[in-house]
Amino acid sequence: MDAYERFGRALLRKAERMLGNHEDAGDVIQTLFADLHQKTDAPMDLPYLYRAVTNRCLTFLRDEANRARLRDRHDGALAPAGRTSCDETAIGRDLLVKLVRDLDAHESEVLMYRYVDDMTQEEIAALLGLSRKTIGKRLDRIREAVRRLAGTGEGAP
Amino acid sequence: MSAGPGRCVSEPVSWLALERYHLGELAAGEREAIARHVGGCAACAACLARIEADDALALPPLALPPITRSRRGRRARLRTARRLRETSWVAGVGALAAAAGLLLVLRRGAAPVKVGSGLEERGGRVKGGDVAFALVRDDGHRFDDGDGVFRDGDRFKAVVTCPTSKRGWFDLVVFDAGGATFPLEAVPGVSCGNDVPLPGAFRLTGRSRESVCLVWSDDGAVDRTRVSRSDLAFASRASCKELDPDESRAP
Repeated sequence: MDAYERFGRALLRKAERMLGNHEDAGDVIQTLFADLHQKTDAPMDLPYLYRAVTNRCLTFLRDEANRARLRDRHDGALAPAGRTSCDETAIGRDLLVKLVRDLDAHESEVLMYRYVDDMTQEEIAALLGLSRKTIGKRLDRIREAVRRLAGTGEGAP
Repeated sequence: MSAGPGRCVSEPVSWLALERYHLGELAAGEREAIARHVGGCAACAACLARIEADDALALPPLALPPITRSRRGRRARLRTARRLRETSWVAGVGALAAAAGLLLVLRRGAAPVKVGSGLEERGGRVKGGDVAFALVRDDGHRFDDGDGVFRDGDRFKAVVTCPTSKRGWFDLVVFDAGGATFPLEAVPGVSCGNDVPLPGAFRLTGRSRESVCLVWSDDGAVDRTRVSRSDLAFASRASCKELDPDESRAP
């Protein structure tokens, strides 16, 4: 499959950043392309596939058994803390996983784009087809959850 | 790269932008802006270097199932069959066969799994062929058979029919392009009957096809991890309904 050859490495890196585990990231990518193989009308551009990988990894992370396994097998080199600008704080991996449990699906997706993929609000808005204002509101709720969880000492960065 | 890439000198270039830059997908203006930034930012340059270094690595081979070309009315059963055949792709087809053999041994000599067949009846457990489930929309419309349509935001309950005096473990899973989600709490040890409602309700949103599957097990809770990987064989049995978005009823 041409799309796998072209985008496979980028998507594997993306899944590894989210899951911190090479084998599980590989599983996510393989099953994604197996499903896409059945859908001849699916778009095969990188932004679309990025979203698909994000949602599949979030589904994976929401499962308690998966989270426990990833904690044991986590490879920090595969999932480094995101780059940050000078006025932003990096979110540690433990806190990131707790946030996925705390936030709804839409907020979790934005969380990943902002703090794992280092996207700007404009990029996230363009990717999701939403306004920058909507993304800003979701980021506000994410920051509120960060303060709440970090304040209780849960996975503070 | 053993540690985090550190602080960017201004706003980091996103991984997606770096990937597209590397693939040559960006317009000239964007390319120049990224090249300028990376030239002056060690953190972003390290990320780009990592992307470039991966080019030397071989991708794991991609194992694809045959494309299912079936009539729409049979898609639910066929999709279930496909998922029953699918397991982890990384190990490849040979490893799949070996794993299937191991599974049979671990299941204490139980009969081989047959797509669409029932559970082996043991100690009053529910038989697969005796299980039927329906989705009931809030307005009372009922989906008994394979296909149906939904409007963005429609709310459903699931009801299960299986022989009284039997028990089973049930769970509901929704598959779409984004993967698998479990909209209801897993239900342990349900006593069977006619139209036994599973606790809770769920909504279908969006405008893409959704596959709603009831999965059940006769020997304990359904393993969501394996179901998430579309490996329904480990969950014992499954029955699916395909729901298409109803464009004519879209808000």
